[in-house]
Amino acid sequence: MIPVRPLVGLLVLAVAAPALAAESGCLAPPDRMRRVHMDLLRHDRDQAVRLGVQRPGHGLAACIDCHARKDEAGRAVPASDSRHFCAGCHRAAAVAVDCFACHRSIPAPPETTP
Amino acid sequence: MTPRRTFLVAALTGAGMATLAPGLLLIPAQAAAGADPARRFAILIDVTRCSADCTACVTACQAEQGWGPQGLGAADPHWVRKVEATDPTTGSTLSLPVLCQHCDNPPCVDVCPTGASFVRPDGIVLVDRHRCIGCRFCQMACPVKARSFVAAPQDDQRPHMPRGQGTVEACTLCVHRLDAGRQPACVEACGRDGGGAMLFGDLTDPDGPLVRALAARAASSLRADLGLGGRIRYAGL
Repeated sequence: MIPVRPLVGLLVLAVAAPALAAESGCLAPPDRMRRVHMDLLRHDRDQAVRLGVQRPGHGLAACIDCHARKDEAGRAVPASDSRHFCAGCHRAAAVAVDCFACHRSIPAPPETTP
Repeated sequence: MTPRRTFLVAALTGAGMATLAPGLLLIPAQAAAGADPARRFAILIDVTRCSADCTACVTACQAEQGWGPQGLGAADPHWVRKVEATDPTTGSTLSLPVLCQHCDNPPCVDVCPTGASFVRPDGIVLVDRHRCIGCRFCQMACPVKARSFVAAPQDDQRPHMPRGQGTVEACTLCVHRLDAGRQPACVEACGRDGGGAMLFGDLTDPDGPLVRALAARAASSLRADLGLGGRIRYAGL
């Protein structure tokens, strides 16, 4: 059976996203981000880890800071939660996200940010 | 829609790429502001000022990087640990912190089958966890047991230091701090809460405090006989 709820979520996102793009501060418009976010992350991670090229706003942490989804209590939900920003599409597409085996999937409390 | 291949070729050609032959392209290296290859960071540890009951460097490292004991005994993570050394002839003891020595010729990089162990342009030896398969060859190769294996699932990692089960890790010399122009957390804590035994600096800066201190006092690497060129130097061993 086709999971209906994630598909509805995708459609809503597709309609709402262009309006958000202008002031979102995202690296690219949503339609492009949807296609190439994995390539952007991969490129920047190799540059950052192996060469020490830090580009503010280009790391996964910056994505997480902006795209965090909150639960009823106002706490950011982790990647294991179906409401997580990444989970929305990745669950529907059945593509496992390995990032969060190591990276934190929720914004950091301010005092731990160096 | 533009096919991906056409798009990529067009994008790369626009970025100053030359075609040497069909299918053979010359891509100019991009000058990026990253780790400075002209620098060689090092730490001088004055063992005589390191007391056995002080663990300020270990505590600071744990807080900074988000690791700690997980009840696994010898398999617990240990980015930096305090080691007691006893002279069997006299019974005199020394206490010193042992961490990744950031060798000039790192055996962990030699044995890594995936290229996960690597040397950054500024000489800092790191694990690229994106490539680490957790084989632990590097753990076996390291003469000072600086590396440890993440054996348990992790959560609540520091945003600057992703850590995950199945990968090997070690001291990063606090690259995230260095890239921001700060000192490693252990050095800062040793000066603040400990005996002020650690001095951080750049070996290529002839007027810097580290080079001056190294000129004034005999200091050696751990297992200097191996010729690995460790850049954590110990004075008073």
